[in-house]
Amino acid sequence: MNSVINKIKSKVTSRNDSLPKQGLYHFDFQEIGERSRIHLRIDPDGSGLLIVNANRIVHLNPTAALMAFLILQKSPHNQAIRKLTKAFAVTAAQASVDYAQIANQVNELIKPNGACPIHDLELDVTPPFSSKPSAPYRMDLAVTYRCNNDCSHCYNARSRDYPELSTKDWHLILDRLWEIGIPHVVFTGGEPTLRNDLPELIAHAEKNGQITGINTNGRRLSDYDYVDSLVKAGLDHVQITFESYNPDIHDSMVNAHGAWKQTFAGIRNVLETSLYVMTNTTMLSDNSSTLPQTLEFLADTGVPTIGLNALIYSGRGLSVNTGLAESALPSLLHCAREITSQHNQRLIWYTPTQYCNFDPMQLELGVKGCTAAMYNMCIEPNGDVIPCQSYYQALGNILTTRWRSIWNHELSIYLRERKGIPSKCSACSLVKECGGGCPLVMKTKGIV
Amino acid sequence: MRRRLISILLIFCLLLLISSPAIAQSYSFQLPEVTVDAYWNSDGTLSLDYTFLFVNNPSGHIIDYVDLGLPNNNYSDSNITAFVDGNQVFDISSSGFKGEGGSGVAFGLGQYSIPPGSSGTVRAHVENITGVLYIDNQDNNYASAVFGTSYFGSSYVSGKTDLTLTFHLPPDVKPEEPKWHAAPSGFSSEPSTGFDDQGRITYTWENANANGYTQYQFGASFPKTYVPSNAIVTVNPFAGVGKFISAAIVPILCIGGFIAIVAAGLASDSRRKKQYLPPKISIEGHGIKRGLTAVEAAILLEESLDKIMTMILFSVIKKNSAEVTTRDPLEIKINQPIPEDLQLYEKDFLTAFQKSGSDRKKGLRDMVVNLVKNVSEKMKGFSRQETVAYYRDITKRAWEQVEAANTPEVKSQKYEEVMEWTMLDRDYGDRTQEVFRNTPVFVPVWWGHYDPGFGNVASKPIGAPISTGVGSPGLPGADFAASMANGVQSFSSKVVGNINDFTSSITSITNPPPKVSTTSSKGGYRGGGGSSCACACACAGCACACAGGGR
Repeated sequence: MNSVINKIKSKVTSRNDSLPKQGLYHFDFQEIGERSRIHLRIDPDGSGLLIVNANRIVHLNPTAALMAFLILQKSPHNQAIRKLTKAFAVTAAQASVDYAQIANQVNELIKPNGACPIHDLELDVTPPFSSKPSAPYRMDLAVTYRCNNDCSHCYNARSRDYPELSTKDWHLILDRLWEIGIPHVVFTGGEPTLRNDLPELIAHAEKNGQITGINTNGRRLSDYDYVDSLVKAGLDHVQITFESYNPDIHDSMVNAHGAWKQTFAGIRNVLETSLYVMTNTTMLSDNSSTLPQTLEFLADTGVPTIGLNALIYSGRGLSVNTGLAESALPSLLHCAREITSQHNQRLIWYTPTQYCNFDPMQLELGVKGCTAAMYNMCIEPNGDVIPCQSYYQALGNILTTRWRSIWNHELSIYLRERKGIPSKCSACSLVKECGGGCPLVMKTKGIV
Repeated sequence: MRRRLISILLIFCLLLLISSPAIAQSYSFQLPEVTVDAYWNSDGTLSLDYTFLFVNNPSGHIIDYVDLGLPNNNYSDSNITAFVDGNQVFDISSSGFKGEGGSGVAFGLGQYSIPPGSSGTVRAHVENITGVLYIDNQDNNYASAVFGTSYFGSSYVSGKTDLTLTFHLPPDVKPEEPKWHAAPSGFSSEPSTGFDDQGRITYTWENANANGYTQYQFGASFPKTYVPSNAIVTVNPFAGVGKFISAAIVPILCIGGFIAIVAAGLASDSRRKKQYLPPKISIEGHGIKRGLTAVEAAILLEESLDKIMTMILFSVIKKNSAEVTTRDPLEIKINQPIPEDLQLYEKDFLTAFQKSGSDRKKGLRDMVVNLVKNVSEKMKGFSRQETVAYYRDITKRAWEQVEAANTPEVKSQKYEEVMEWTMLDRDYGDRTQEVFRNTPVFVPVWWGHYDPGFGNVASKPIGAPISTGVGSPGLPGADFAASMANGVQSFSSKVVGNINDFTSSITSITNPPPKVSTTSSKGGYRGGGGSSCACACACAGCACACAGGGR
């Protein structure tokens, strides 16, 4: 491990020789063919959160948090032990033994293809959704509600001409999010590429140390020069909505003739870059029958990661009537799992469901539950903060409302603490994982 | 003139060495035990419980007054009580306190004064002293609570003192939040931590070799949210006190020549340290993976491959899918049609045995490789550690059931029911022999399909249903146990040859060289994960749910 680390070129955004204060620290480890963006969030009580490539998240008690900081800073061993014995009532011998063990674990955790934290590192496993973060891990930034598609199932409940903040205001927001401790931002909409300042916003976030992504219909990405400008701005990942391998079905679902052609060109363009690329497909009655062909098509195209989700019951999604019953999902996802597995693709299933109808764990899709106002939130084009990008109830404005008020808003707590779980679920052994499914579904169907 | 123990500010030790001899010679006592409880209350006040055990030397003056120094003047006499050997004393006055330059209260012991050559216990309780907390200057989210013990002039007190001081932190402070400050010399660097009868966190420092003439200063810090903000002194009144002491106070006190008893609420900034909790990294996910078959659990537990294949052999025999035709070399006859409800590895096992030679060996290898991969898949997101412990416990309980059986018949029946779980025991062979050594065995009705030489059941028609349960006694326990154990041990030589080579051919596929030194792998295959394991996504603790879908 040491030899690996020695090869790593480290860039520490917030380097400080003193002990870490509360806040977010960014570390960028690079070597040929492998890069790790690491964020260490130190909470007021000294505990920490280690976030690897905005994906793997582990929790650190105060001792481990300080050790992780010293490890990521590559503090010389003796110097680290001195700092530990200065900060804690501990002997140097004990600190040295513990530090070596944590160093092994942290150095493995930060590698993109490192050891499994559960099976190889045998970290303590806490129940799903049991952590109480001090801020979300990810903030979605709906920079505009304008869109060059017109999806009949779109969850957007706002008008397309919704007021938009200036570039300068978004810079302030990005800075504010960094102060709050949010390491990952995703530009979304509407269609974020319709904002001409998107590369500038990405560059600003990257300068802060944030990991950036965009959720897009991909049409503007058909212009390779534009893709190049995003890459040069520092963009890390892109998710492109792709509804079907069949252009007619796709264009019909997005209500835009010729959209498929541009979107597919966009996919091919981003696959030429170093960006982390994935597609997302909403499984509806319109396209579910073509799912196998769509997945085979994407595999042939070389898309490494496939996202799938069900209808979101918001905006037009409330009335489109093309949503699939949860009970119809298992066969589709089983098929998707087989195809992606054959092609060594990663499959990500997004939609929180009621596990009594569809249990993603049975298909090895992982634990999926609503994480609104807990692990992720969304900011609207005018700066209002909403629990997630499809739950349109403002909790305050990021530019004018104290973060604590937003985070501890009654609705935030209601969602975070899952107070809306139907009473029928209380005795279910999977209630912690399931959480009752999507709150919007419960709300729409009058379950609560 | 009243003769008494009087007090001054303890921090000025220098003066103690040059106290007035005329007064000093009057008192001579020992202080074998001092106990102090300092309660840092939720309203930001401090309450103190002092217990002094005085042993007055025969030549000493009667101990008629005791002064107790306090951090400041922010207390009320009405909140102070004192007792001598359990007898309350009422002569309590701040005005009578003789400590120079400090604050405190004087107790007149009156009729309970301690005569020369006697001992007495003085207890004092002071409630609700305000203005005792300061902002921790290393973390302004923390309140600093520092306390210095009372002490007496070295001219009067001699001998060792067993000093115990306990901080009771405000209610509801969580164990991981507070931090203690560095302890004085002679005390353990880490206090004993615990909870008092109110559930409050306690830090206790003790030193059996302390003395009664030294001030010992202790401190702790805790999140300031546990006390009202207006209870915290924002400006340290003792800032710059060092210069002031040396320049002005010490000379004055030297002239005064008093001895000291005091408690001081100074904020010590430079030596405080946080409580050291062993470092811990955790991740959200599942705990135990239930529902594995015994064979799958054996993979997880990294049992030997010959044992695992023997378990599969037993499994297919019990399901009436096969029977052994010869044991050396091992050959089995497969009953057609193969039942649909067989596990995949059981089907693969039978398929492999339909071949011979190297093809059979390759088929068994592929069977094990797939089994390992399938177990890895099933374990995604689950804790290997907890799951291993879970199946170890099942094994333990399986043996307990067998061993608890009173009769050979029941013992045999229990064994047949849980046999596959008992086989997960590393000492399976020895333990089987131990349990059945001196008892007849009612062999399972399928036993004849495993042991062709066993006549009772061998005459059953091949393919006939075999019920579970117990057959008739027909095998001495020792022979049965030996047969079970040897069956496992010799499987490899009868089927796959060198088991090490066979295992290597599997681990080269399922388990690339370990990546981390902390892995507790015993060098076998790994059934619980691996570098390609996708647990990171299978776990809950990421924000990918609803990440932009639905557009």
